[in-house]
This record gives sequence, C-alpha cells and structure tokens, in this order.
Amino acid sequence: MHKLELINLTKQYGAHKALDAVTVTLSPGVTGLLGANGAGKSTLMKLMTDNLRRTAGEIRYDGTDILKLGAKWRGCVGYTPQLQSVYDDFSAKEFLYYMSALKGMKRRDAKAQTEELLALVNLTADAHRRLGTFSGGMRQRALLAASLLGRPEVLILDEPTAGLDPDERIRLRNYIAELAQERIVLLATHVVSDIESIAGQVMLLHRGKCQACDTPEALRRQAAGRIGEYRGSYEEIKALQAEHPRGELTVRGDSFVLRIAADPLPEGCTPVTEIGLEDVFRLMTGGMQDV
Amino acid sequence: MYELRRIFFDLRRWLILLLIAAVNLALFAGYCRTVPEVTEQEQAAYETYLNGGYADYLERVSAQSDEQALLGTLRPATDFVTRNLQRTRADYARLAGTVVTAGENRGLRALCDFHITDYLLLIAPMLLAVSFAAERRTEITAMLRTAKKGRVPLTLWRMAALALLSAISVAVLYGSDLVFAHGFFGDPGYARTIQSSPDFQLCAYRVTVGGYLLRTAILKACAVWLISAAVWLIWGMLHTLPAAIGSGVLLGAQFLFWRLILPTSTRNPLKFCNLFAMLSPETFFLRYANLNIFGSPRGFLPGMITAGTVFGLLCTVLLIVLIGICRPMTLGAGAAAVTDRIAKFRSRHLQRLSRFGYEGRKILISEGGVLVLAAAGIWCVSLVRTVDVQLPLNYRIEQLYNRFEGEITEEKRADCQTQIAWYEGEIDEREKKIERLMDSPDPPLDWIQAIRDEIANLQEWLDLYRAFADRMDALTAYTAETGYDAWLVRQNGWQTLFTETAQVRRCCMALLIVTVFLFAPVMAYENRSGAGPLLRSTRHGRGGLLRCKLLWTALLVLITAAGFHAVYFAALQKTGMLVLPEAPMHSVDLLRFVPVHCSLRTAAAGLYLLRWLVTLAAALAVLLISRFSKNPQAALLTALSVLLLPAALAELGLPVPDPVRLLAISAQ
Repeated sequence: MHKLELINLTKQYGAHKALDAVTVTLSPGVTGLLGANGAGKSTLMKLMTDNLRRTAGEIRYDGTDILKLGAKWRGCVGYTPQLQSVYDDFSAKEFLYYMSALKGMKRRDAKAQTEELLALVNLTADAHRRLGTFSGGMRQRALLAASLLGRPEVLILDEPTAGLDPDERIRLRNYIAELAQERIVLLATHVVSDIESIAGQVMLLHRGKCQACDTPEALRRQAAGRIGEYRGSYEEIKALQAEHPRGELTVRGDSFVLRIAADPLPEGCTPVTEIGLEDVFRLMTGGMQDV
Repeated sequence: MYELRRIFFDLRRWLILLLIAAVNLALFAGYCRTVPEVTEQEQAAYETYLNGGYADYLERVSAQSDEQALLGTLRPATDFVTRNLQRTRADYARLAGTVVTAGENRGLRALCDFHITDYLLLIAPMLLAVSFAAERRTEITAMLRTAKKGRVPLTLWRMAALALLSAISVAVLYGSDLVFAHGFFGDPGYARTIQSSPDFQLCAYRVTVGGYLLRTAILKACAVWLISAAVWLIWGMLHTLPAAIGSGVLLGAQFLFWRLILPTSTRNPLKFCNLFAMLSPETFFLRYANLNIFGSPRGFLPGMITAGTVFGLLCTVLLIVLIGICRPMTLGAGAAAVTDRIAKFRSRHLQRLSRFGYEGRKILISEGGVLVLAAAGIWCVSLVRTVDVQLPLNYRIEQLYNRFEGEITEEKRADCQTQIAWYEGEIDEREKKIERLMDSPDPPLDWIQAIRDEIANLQEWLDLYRAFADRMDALTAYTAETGYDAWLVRQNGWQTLFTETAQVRRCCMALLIVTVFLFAPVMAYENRSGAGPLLRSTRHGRGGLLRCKLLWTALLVLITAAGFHAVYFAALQKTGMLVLPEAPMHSVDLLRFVPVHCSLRTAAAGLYLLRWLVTLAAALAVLLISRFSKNPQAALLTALSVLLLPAALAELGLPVPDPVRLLAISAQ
C-alpha cells in the first residue's frame, strides 16, 4: 500500500509563512482538504507537485523524497489545477492527446484512455470542440480527465467540481471515490458536501497550519457540544451576531435562527446533535472566511 | 472622461507608440541617407525653374488649354473633356503671380516619397479599435451596458479617444519625420509657396509649404481615424472570421483601387475618393486631376474630402447605432460555425503527435507562428527584388584574373614576368618610333597621337601586370612567412560577403523583427493559460518540454535565417564575383587575422553558422523575456523594447549597443 508523508512541510515568502510545519500522512482513499482562501491549500498542492521550492520539510512517497524521485514521482501523479483558460484552440481530445504525450504514454494506451475518460467526464459529444468554446464546468471536466490519464497512483485535485452542475458533481464524486479505492487522492474543494460524502480523512488548514487531520466522524465528535442554535427575534439575533460574527443565520418562518460554533456556547443556545464538517471548520478555524 | 483617462493613462499604449515612432524614425533616417546630393545639372535646372520657368509653365498650360478647347468645339458642349479643359485653365489662371523662391526641397520630397510612415500611423489606433471590439466578446460588455452611460456616451468617448490617438500618432510619427528631415536636409522654408519646389509644379492650390504640411497632417489623421473606426465597426459587429474577411475586403479593395486605377481613368473617383488616398494626400498636391462626376469635372481634393466626410458620418452613425445602442450582435455566426467545423474536422482526423510535434503545433498554429513565417516569406521575396549588389568591374582586371587566379605557381609568375617584359618592349619600341617621327621635317602628328594612345593603352596593361606580379610576390612571401596558403583571388566579392554592408544590415533587421514576433509568445503563452504547473507536474513536462521548445526555436531560426541570408548570398552569387570557393581563406586580405586554415567555402559556411548562432542567441533572449511575461503581448512589447528599440536608435546613429550589428556579425 502506497504512502505519502508530508513531514514538517514549510513554505515561507519572506516573513510570511504560507505553510507552517505541516505533518500529515496520506494513504489510499480520499483526503479532503478544507481551508479558507489564502489558508495554503494551493501552496501545499504546488509543493506536492514540485511546482514550488519548499523552505523546509520533506515529502516522501513510499519512504523516498519526491525530489529524489523526480520524473518518476511526476509519472505517478495526476494533477488538476484551477484553470480558467487552457489552450483555447485545442479540442478536448487534442488536449488529452497532448497531455498523454507529456505523460509519456504509448499512443495506443493514450487513444483508449482518452476515449474512456472523455466518456467518464461526459465530454464524448464535445470531444472535437475547441476548449475556447467550453463553459467553465466543461473545461474543469476536461482538466480532470487529463489528470486521470495514465492511471496515476496519486491524484491531487484542486477544486475539481467547481462550476459543475449537481448531476455532474455527483457523477464525478462517485468516480473519484471509486478511484480512491487503490489510490491516494487529495481533494481540495469549497463544496464541503463533496468531502463529507467521500473523504475518509479530512485535513483542516488555517493560516498555513494544519489545525486537524482526522476522519470526518472523529472531527464531528470533537465538535460535539460546541455547536448550537439560538432562536429569537431579529434584534436579539443581531445583538448575538455582533459577538459571534461567524454564526450562520437562517430564517424559519417569522423567527430567525443563528447557528453558532463556540466553546463555550452562549447562554440560551441549544446544542445540536447533527454536526456537519462546515460546523467543524468554523469551530476550528474561528473565522467568517469563505469555506 | 474616465474612458479617455483609462486609455491615455495606459503606459503600454505610449510604449507601443514610442516603439513605432522609433522604428519609423530609423527607417526614415535610413531612407534619407539614400537621397542623393543635388547635382550641378539639377541645380541649374532649378534655377531656370525659379527664374521664369514656373511662370512659363503657367502660360503654357493656359495656351495648351485654349488650343485643346478649340479642338473641343468640334465635340458636344457637354463633353467632360471640354469642361475639364476649361476648369484646368481656370484653376491654373488663379495661380498667376505665384512667387517661387529658392529653398531646400529634398526633405519635402523625402516626406512625400516615404510611405511607410503612413502605414505605421495605423498601428496604434487600429490596436485600440480592435481592443474595443474584442471587449464586446467578453462578459464585461454586459456590465458596462447596464451602466447609465455605458452605451451611447461610452461609444462617443471611445470615438473621441480614437480620434485623439489618431491625431497623436500623426503628430508623433509624421512630426518626427519632419523634424528629422529639417535637421538632415535643412530648412525647407515653410513660408514659401509649395510651387517653389519643382516637384509641386502641377499643384493647383495656393498654399505655402507650412500650409501644405499642416493640411497633409490633418488629412492623414482623418484617414487614420476613418480606417480604425471602420475596423472597430466591422470587428464589433461580426464574428472573428467574417470580421477578418470583411475588413480585409474593405481595406484591400480600397488599397487596390488606390494603387491600380490610373489617375486619368474614368473610374478615378474610386482612386481618389479613397481612404488610402486620404492617408497619402501628398498626391493631391503633387499632381493635378479632376474627377468625372457624371460628366462634370470636380477637383479631386474636394472630392476626396467630401467622400471622407460622408464616410465619416456614416461610420459615426453606424457606431452609435450598432455598437452603442444595439446589443452585441452575432452576425456571421455561420462563418464562425465554419471555423468550428474546421477545428472539429482537424480534431477528428488528427493522430496523436509526439511531444515535439505538439510544441511545433503550439508555436506555429496556436501562437500564430505560421502567419509570422508567411510574412517573413513575403518579406524575403520582396528583398529579392530590392537586394542589389553592385561591384566595380574592370574588364582588363577580369581578364588578368581569368588568367592568373588560383594557386600561385612558378609558371604563372614566369608568365606574368614574360608579359611585363613584352609590354615593356612594345612600349619601348613605340617610344623610339615616336622619337624617329618627331625628328622628321614634317612630323605626322595624327600618327604620333595614335601611337601615343597605343602606348597609353599598353602602359595600362603593363601597370596591371606589374600589380598582379607584385600581388603574387606578396602572397608567396605571406605564405612563406606565416605558413598559411594564400591564392590569387578576386577580393571584391569575398570582401563584400564577409563585410557588414547596408544590405546585410537590412536582412538582419528583418530577421530580428521576425525573431521577436516568432518567439515572444512561446513561453508567455503558457504563462497566460496558467498551464505551467499542470505541464510541470507531468513526467516530461519539464526538461523534455523545454528541449522540444528549444529544438523548434533552433529549427525556425535556421529556416528564417537561411531565408534572409540566402537572399543576399544569391544576389552576391549572381554578380559572379564569388569565384574559387576552394581557395584558402587567407587569400582574402580581410580574413588574414583568422588563425585557422580553411577554404573560403568553409569560412563562408562558418560565417553563416556564426550568424545563425547569434540569431539563435537573440531568439533565446526573446524566449527568456517571454518566460517572465504574463502574456504574449507583454512579451512582444518587452522584446521589441529590449532588442528592436536599441537597433532603431543605433540606425539613427545614436551610440547604443546595436543588436543588428551582432546579428550581422562580419570579419570587420
């Protein structure tokens, strides 16, 4: 069984630490990566794909540093970055062929896998259309297909479901879960439900630090008793919101409900039993940031 | 107002204008240097023109018109020719009493003849127009159109910006030409009548030189505005392909009418009521013609101005309605579908290429390299016509070279000495003969003169033989002294080949421009797409990818450099002076400093290899610039500033490092 270890991984830009001594071990299965904007998710992914020079620490794949593995490591990795424009004059099929050439795949394998992956991401009908005419979601699917070429052992996916409609998202999520049976998948997303449903492990990044890395159940358990709801008038809610700006407001008929993640919970707040990863994230990162 | 600020506070726009101005000035300076000095004959003719010649011309026009009008009475009174003659007479009659005064005319002529400026004037305003049109294809259009002043007022401000930029372009480019011509040739006398320059003898307008320059500048600015507004209109309304075709047809037809229709043709309204005629309005002052408007002669300048005004009003209305008021249209969607179909067809039938193949595809197709190569090819072909290598030829020297060139042998040297002795003997004999004839009581002077002519002829041959003998002796001594073989070969051709001539510089300047345009987008293209991290995360996305790009760079540099240098080499080869390529390179004096023993053929190959390597180094520098640029346009601008601007300044004679000099590396 393959193992990917991040040991004291640090990336520093001048005085600013974008990633601060992150230590995590990834094994086959989906590891969800949650973090606010600027938390260090993309930096972590760039370090893992050796697109960025690390300041300190190590990334070991099966015990060997990925820098030592070099091209061999890159041969094991499939990476989906967040891109809005990729070679607009390439057709989807041409783009996959191009990526297969860069991955060093044989022509016959490339052809077979291209057809298969285009079908998987539901782009067969648009295989010959130029990427420039694709919508954001279609482009994202093309990129995901490209990262899956060559059946990589490690998949690093940065927002792979961004811009997809619900059906597509579920389809892809299922496929990623299927792939993760025998692969290491690191999945960064803002759609917490994607992680909740398929991630075996969740990693919470906050200001470059790994706040927690555990199974979703364990994280939920840790948050038990610290997530509550306050029901009241608009004025009461407004007053409470001033103290707990990260509270999530919902309107239920004429009354308002504020869902708060705090330790201890404020007076009058009823602890809830159904805790989501979003609550855990709010509790552990302590901010109103975009999830 | 904010729109004007947005447009004119953009540093890149000024940088582009500065670059265009520098290139224009460099080319104009080069052109001015080729204008010959006024010969004595020309000066005499000019003085005659000033001292009554122009007045005579006016009288002659009047008399000719009368004579022809008399003949015209045989025709119907409505005939255009008759009316045209009457109008011609009347037009020139108004010029009676025009005073022509002496002054420097070459600068005016250079300004009239140098049309490259006219086309360079179009670049900055056209780029602005295309950027307006391109914006309509983006999401920002919807945002702007929802704003209160985002429709007609914004369009009007943009039209004003286009007009302002047109005027600035003319002021900068045409103005710099004028200032340079003033400095280079001298004061043209702005207060003189334009007819003071014989080139403007046919001009039927009462205007001073300054007035003429001002009028041409205004007309040029109007033409630039009209052309760029038309481009904006077409590109704003249509999809890319039909827009390209539409603007190509409009401008191509206008250009062809302007170039091909004869001034005297009955279709001359198409020639003179034309955007390109307005862009080069010098014609309206250099010649005289009337338009045939339904049989009635109308002045061609007012005709052009009227047509321009109508076209301008039409453009304004259409821009307000179609760009300002109407929603972004998708006219020409059918043509866009054709391009999509082509792309689909290509994709369906495309086999997977190698990494090298894909990099080539990106450089040539995605980044427009094919277009740059096509333009380079056209440029090469045009250079074939203009490269003209003239070498001094002397048939006597040619004969001697035919006899003695090649390896220096004792036989050749002895043969040369025998010839010298024979000529000396012949001259001696004839001198004695002259002495004898002179001693006679009635010396036959004609005969003596004939013998003296013979002696002069023989002496010339003798001098040449002696020179060749000396040269052979010197070469033999050189070989003995240095150990390097040296043959007797014609120097001119080889020296020209190994020297940085003006023609070589022109080829290298063209090569530098092509190199910048070809390679500036290569790395920046990846940066703009943001695909860098994705590519780098693949197995061959680092060294392998870079190697492919470098290989393509080397290959394309080889192709372009071979094209441009071959044009010059072929022109030189045609002179027949590059003989004996197998001769040792030290046979050419210019190459004596090279401490290598090889043939001239190898040395020439080495020279071109070196030029290729230097061009490759320039291409690598462009790639490096491209690597650190966020998009191809920024890379292009930076590369132009770093490589082309110094070359342009050096062309002007300023002491700056000259990249063209490096590209044209020579034995000098």
